[in-house]
Amino acid sequence: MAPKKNSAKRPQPSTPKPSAPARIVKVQSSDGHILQADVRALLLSSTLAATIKGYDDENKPLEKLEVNNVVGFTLKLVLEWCEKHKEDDPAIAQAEKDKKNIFIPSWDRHFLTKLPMGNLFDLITAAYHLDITGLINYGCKTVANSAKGKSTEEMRELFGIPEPWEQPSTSTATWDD
Amino acid sequence: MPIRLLSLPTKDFQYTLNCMNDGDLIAFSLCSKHSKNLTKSLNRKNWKTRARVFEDSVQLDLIVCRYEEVQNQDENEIYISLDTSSRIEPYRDCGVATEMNRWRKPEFTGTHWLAHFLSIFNESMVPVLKITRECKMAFLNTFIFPKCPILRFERECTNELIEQCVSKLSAEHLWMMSNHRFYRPKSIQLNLMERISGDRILKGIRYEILDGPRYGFLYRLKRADEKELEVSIRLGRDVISSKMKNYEACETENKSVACEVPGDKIDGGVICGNSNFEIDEGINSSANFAILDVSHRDHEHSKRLAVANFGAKLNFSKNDGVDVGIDADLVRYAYEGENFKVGTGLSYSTGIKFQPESVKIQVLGYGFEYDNDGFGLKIPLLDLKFKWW
Repeated sequence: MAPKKNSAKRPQPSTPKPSAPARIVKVQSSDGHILQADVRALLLSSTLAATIKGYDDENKPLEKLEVNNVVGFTLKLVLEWCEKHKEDDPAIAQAEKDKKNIFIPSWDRHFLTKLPMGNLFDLITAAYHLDITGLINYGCKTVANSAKGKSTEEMRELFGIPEPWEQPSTSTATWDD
Repeated sequence: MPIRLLSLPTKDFQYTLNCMNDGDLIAFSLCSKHSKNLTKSLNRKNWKTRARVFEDSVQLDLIVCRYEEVQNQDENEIYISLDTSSRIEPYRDCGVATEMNRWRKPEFTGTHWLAHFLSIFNESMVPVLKITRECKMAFLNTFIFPKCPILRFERECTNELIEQCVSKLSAEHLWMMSNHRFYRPKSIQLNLMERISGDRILKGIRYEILDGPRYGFLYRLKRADEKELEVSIRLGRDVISSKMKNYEACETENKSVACEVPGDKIDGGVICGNSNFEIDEGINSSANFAILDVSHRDHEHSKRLAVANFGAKLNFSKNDGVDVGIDADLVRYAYEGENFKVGTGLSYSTGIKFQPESVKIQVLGYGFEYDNDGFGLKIPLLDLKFKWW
């Protein structure tokens, strides 16, 4: 039987959102850097979306959001990614969540692969803290792709795994009586 | 600068590993013991795993998913050739040795590799072990096989080869060996195309005939520890040949504990007792009583709780050595993992055991043991054993 080609496709946005006037707020990183971002971009983060909703519900003016567990450099990367995806339908990221074969759009592929591994690690960790599903998906998939075709030794180096293999074992706990 | 994969949030690194194909995941699993355990924890299963035995190697085929569901043909199948040395030759369907040199592990023998692959893909056994006509007994004698529910032979295999293989793999290795490295089916069913002498298959093993010879024979094998195994040898030409290209020569019965419930086994209960006495080439006798004796076992761990467990054993044999003693566990809880065993409670067991692969001495709960599994120390309140297998 002829094998099927890779049919993993990225879900298409259902309907384009009508563009609304940008609502800019300040975002402060853990090391005191203050950046500016469109609220629509920040809404990609479930964590920040909840905070913003809290302000809106109480009709309090939102001037500055504090992100206590992300440093300025990484926060800038996060906001750059969010800005690029602020028009995305959140259902796309949810649909791709935990899927093995996801398609990484070219902009994201370029954005993530150009980063040194250390920065990519910080970005994924920040995405985890801020609960940005799409960025987690693409970040993790990029890490997996970076391991493609690597030998054990290269992987140990890539992932910073210092522990050498110890005594070889034939025990699978499945051979025992 | 490396990406500290293992420092990522658990969910994220699990997702990252899940995105890897089998070849990359195998390379990752070989990085360290920790990475191996992480790979196992993904619970990734291949659609099909099978092993074929050739002249001096075993080919392990890992097929990721059904062809109808395949996303990427290049990543769907991995064929791995293993022998008794450290030589490993993985290659894809197209024959290109893409994985060659990726999984270098000079300290691994073929047996280690096989165990590793089964372990990381959470296979309790090779579902089908196929013997080809090229197979040589000399190789079978040096390669340790995992358990398999189905053993198949190529049509061209000689009767002599079938007899030798069945005798070695099913009767000797899978059952009669007492070092607990091999699994113990409750029964073995042989469906043969041609008549093969049971005497030759069970050569050197003590058995009794329960039924036969009209439709074949039913044998009962008994080990020195009183555990029994039934072996049925039947002619299956009419039934088997019309269904299968390669006939099954040996299949463990589905009802057996080892096959049907590979993940779990719970046995024991309240007020348990048993005894046995046998005189053959020595004396084998034991008696045991417990108010409560419950054990639970799966492939990773085993646990046992015993209350007021008392017993005595007296075993002398010129082949098996000496094993005498008194078990006196007022209360005991034991947990056994892959690399260790720990027990606690209050035990005053006393005894001595000198057997070819096992030495154990204990006096009123104090003692030590040493066998093929590892080394252990005991005091009445605690016992620890470190396993190197």
